[in-house]
Amino acid sequence: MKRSKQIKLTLMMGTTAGLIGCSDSDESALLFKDVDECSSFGVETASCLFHYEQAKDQHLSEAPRYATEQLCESDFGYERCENNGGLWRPVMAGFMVALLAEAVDEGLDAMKKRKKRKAAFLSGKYYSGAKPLYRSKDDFFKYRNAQNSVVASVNSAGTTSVKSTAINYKPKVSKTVTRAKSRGGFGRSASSRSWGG
Amino acid sequence: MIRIPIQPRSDWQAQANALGFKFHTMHGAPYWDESAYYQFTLSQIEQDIEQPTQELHDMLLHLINKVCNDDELMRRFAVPQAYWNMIRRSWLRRDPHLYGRFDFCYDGVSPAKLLEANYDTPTSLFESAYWQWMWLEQQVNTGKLPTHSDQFNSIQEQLIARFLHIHKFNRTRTLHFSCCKNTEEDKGTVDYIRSCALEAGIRSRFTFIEDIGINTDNQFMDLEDNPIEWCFKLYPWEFMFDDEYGQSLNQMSVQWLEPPWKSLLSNKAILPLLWQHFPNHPNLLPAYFSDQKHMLDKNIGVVKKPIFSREGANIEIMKADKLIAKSSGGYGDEGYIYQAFKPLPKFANEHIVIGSWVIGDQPAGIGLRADPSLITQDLSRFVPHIILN
Repeated sequence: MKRSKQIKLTLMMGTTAGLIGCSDSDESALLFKDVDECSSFGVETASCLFHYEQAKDQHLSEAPRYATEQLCESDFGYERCENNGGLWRPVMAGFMVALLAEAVDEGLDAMKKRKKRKAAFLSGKYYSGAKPLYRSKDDFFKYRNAQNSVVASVNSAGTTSVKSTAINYKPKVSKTVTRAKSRGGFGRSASSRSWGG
Repeated sequence: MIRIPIQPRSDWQAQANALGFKFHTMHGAPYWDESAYYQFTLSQIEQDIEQPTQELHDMLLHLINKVCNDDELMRRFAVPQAYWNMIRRSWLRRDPHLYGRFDFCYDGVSPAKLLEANYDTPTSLFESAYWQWMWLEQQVNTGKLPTHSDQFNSIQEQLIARFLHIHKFNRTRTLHFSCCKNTEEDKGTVDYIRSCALEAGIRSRFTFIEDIGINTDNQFMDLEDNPIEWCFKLYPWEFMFDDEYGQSLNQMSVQWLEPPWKSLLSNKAILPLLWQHFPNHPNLLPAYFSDQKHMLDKNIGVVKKPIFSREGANIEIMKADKLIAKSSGGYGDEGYIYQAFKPLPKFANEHIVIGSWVIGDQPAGIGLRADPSLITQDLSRFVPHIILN
């Protein structure tokens, strides 16, 4: 046989652009286990505390809730659950601060140059809401968000890139980084001539 | 290789429209023509087309090294000096490539001769890979063709496999697909390739070439402001070099399909270089740059082709100092090359060109174009083929 055995295909001929794969994009974020780890990355302690508290607030409203300690521990492991108001929740294993890509780059730069002040400055200005992170029993080396989707490895403390859907914040944020400077710089050569091949 | 008339499927127009194959009729004339098909033997396909395709492809890759390492050749290829490093780097990195198409002059008897290589922006892919395959499948199912009819066409299978391979280098990236506005044929081709990428699990977006912008981070971006990191463009490299954004290309880290090094292979200057390095190769026609065009026999005929030319534009055929065919267009500023004339074989008043596809580094199938004129242009008809012993 010199031909394809079968050719089933979801043909996209004539469909409007952008139907597929437009929901998931990558976003930079800072991931920390606790306030100490946060401040060791050059962020001001007060700022770290602020984010931590914010994540903790979210934790109380977002975290999965269990009726018994046993049920909770079957998902999160021995002594990894806490009681609050009669309900069981997994302990918050870390928190995540979503950042604009630009801010992360700048922050890293500042850290490289040992400019703690600059790094600290960024932490105050660019965050878009801190979120709690969890570690489950059967996938212990991954941070998960409250919706139980994997965010990143626990070893990627500090700056990392995560799926925007995993943090679920407003996509508007990323837009402000990539404002159009110009458009339409391609295509002029084609208008005068026919081509293809 | 014979031409056999056959009853067209009664509903093929309806099927084409349903699929979104809108360019089956272009400028009021039929583009897809299934009133006849061409029949090959297996040895014609394997020995006369498939094997030479592989060999020519390997020869081309061999020549890229030569061109990249030689400033004089880069100049002859009319590549603006600002882009030499970009092309060289992309070759040194061996940036993965997707596809290409050779155009052969082949009559079923004598060796196929390479007319040109379309290695940057080849089209007629959907017709070859999908539509032609469907035609055979349906004609066999309705009993109009024998059940053991075959076709040299594993293009789609190989395209998907190739995308799976390339995806490994770009796991985290979204592949942007791009072509110019107001070109139904290009949009159809891009949509089809995008379907194959989708099948290989690649995330994709579409943006028109004219809508591409540059953001404040100095990245190319699409109309929704998403940065473009990996891009399939059905738009010639030499146009990109000429455009306003050309100067930005060097600062971008976009992974392109086809990669910049392919611009050397879609260039007609590769033809004289092939002849120089592989003289008297059975699948090559003598070809020279203008300084050596006297080497060609005027009585056999000389074809003058612009270094950058698409869809058979600006070609002149001279025989014994008489102009026997000529096509118009807007190319030729960068110079010409000269190739020995070999008339296309004629079957029932149509001249046939065989387009032989290379996916990745492998021959994958053929598509036939028929034209009443000696120069195959973008309005020639696409005709199906089968293999039958």
